Amino acid sequence: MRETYYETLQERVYEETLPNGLRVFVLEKPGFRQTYACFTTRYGSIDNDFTVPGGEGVRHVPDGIAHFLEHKMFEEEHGDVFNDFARQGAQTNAFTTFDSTTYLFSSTSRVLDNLTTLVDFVQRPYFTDENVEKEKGIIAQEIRMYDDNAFWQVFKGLLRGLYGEHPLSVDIAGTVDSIMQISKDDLYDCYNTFYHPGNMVLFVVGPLDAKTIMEHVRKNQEGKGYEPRREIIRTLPEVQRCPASSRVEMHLALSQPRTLFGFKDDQVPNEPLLRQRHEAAMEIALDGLFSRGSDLYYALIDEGLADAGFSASYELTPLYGHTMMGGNSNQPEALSERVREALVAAAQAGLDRGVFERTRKKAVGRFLSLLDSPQGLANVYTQQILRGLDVLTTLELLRNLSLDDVNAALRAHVQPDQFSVSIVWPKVDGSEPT
Amino acid sequence: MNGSWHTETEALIAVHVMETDKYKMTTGLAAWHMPLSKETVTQYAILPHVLLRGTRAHPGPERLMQAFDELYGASISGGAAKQGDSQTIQFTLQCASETHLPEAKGLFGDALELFAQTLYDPFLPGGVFAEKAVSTEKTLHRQRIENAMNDKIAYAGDRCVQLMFAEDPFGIPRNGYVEAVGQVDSASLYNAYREMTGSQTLHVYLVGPLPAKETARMILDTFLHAAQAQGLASAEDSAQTAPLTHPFRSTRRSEPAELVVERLDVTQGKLNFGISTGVAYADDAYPALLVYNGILGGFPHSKLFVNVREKASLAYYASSRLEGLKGAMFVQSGIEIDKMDRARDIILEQLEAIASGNITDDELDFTKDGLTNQYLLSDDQPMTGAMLQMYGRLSGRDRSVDELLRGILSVTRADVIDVARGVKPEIVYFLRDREEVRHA
Repeated sequence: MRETYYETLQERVYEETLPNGLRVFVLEKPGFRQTYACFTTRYGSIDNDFTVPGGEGVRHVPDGIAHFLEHKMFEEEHGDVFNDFARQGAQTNAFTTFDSTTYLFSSTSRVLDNLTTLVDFVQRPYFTDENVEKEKGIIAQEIRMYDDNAFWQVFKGLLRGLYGEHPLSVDIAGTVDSIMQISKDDLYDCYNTFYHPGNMVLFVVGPLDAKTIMEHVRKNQEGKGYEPRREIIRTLPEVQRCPASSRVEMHLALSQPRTLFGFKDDQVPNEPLLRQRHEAAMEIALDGLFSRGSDLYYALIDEGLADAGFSASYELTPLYGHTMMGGNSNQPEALSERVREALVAAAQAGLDRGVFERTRKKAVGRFLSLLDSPQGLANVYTQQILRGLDVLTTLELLRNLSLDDVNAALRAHVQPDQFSVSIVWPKVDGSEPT
Repeated sequence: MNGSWHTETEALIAVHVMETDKYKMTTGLAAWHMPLSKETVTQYAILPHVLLRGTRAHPGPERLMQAFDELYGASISGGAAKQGDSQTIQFTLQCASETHLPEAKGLFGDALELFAQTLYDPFLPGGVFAEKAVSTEKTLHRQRIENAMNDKIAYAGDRCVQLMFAEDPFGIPRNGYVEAVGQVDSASLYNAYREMTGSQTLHVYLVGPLPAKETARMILDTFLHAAQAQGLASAEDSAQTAPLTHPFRSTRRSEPAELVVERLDVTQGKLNFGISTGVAYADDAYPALLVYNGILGGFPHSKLFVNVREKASLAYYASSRLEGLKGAMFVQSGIEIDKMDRARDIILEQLEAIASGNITDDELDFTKDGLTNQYLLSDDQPMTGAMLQMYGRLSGRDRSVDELLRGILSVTRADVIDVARGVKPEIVYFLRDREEVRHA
């Protein structure tokens, strides 16, 4: 069991890789009531083409299958896993992203029992023709719910603009048509390929003893007889250098247009630590330029281009990097143009030193809030570990970040051909209460 | 539980501090309660946004926000909420604790001073709020009201509340009315602000690694000092207590609930129920109502989830929630538009099932354990205790988490059936697609 102590944070993380390849992390939070655990596989909505271990040739599965599989894991031969957790006073849930699937619980009692339930149900698939069919109606309604959601649609629109036909811009839940094609055998193929312990991470945080937790998980895994992990071969198309489209539009029943726009990085550093530094630098740049304390934020509002919900964020993963900026706007084109120009100007002139110092201090203080949410902490830590990064080193990184780092990141990110805009317009005559 | 409050009161300010080293952030919450009324709701919904637009020391919103940013990203937010029959004008403060930032001595005191000034020492060119700030916030507020329809799940929920409480203060929209925005101006808004600060007590809550007694006194002095600059918060003899919420009383007999259908250009139908329960937060039977709601629709083991979603595959979400202060319950679900009748029937069957005693041991036990877990989980959030105190003031009955937990554990099947027999659907609300789209 390896131990890492973060002195300023006064937090300690214990880590162990079990013989079957499962990585287990424990963070003790003595003052808290709850234990939160998440069990995550590095498998998400983009993994639609792969080679089944021991199989031949590339297998292609329908869009939305990782998310469908996540739903179906909750059904076992003896019944519903929700009830197993309820019997032990815990609440459970799961979520799928483009590159991961996470199962979780939080509870204030019977922690070891709940941990066993979590690990066991995820390691025990039970799919039948009937239970697969039954799920289709439920997930179809989940998709319909998102069809009406302007926040989601404008986000999807920008992904489509930035990534075109790449799996990154396919909806995580798939489409009503694609999920109808999913069969029991598809699910087993995906499960057998991506749910090996060697492809997974377990993170547990709460008022607990790390040794006890490790021992418990070790014993649980010993009895399961996993074969050594075989390499997972994913067939993922290259992410194109430039956006597929500079503009994507659609219409929904809305009172006001909604827009998101951003630049796409033309290359992504392979080295995780470089990515971490670049991401932190970009976040400082955006915060300094567009947060409530910036010169521009209230100017955009006072000029009628944005409302208080205007925001700007940056994300960098091993696959892609992009900014996403925007919100509600009566003049979405003018807003995106104004913000794009501000970024181009900032990339040329560099960020003001005073703004940089203030924003860096702000980032240091705000980072601490992550430690107050067991759930947020576990989720972020796990996502970053799967991408080769330790999120708890962020504080030290921020302390050492320089204005040159920020300006270099801005210059690399803001490239003229890399910009795309997504707009959801109100449907004319969209509202008609009867 | 988290700990206990130390309280200091003077003039129209009450400060409550809870000392704990559990969190890395220090959290504050400050709130006034005003009676909800059609005449004043809109101006008080705008007010917190105008207060965030600058103080005497930091005139202008970006200058105020920069001052907060300088303090290692101390953050303030503000807004108006609806709680029972009152409108809560509230602000929150979050500030990194100095324990983890040795380079940031005096951080909390500075952040607190900015917080107090934002509430009590606003920028007042010419003796009233700045024209520009008010006119911009009016525009934003008009959009805020109109944008309520953009989130269809929330919109259907709001419509259901407004229809069920058409004759009750609780039916007043949280953000007020578009038509009333135009009537607000700098002078009238400032008068409303003086009226509020001169008649209602501001309650300030703070949770962090700070000695309770000294900190409470320090906070009180900081707020009093800020308020004195404008001669605010001093009219102790005109103090009014927070408005007590009156629970909903049904006037229906046995007739079925009214069905209201509204149309928007949507692909999924939203089927919601507004239900009177006859039991509210201050009643002895409230824990039984919590259990009733849990069995019906509070969890994945609940009847709505199992029957509407898992068995009939009709919905992705189907659940119920309580509005404890008003003694009301709401059911919400997102369904295929053609399946409305079937979904409605299944939901009504679940209400009847509980009333006729069809409750399994598992349903009862899972719900009581699940509620216990939820209350204990909420203890990991700094402001849970503050919310409970507010509920106490607004309902006229103080309840601690421990008391609620004991109450929940002692609820019997008979208690739940008693609650179920007093439950009456008042409104069935269905948001669906537009006619012409369907005929296309």
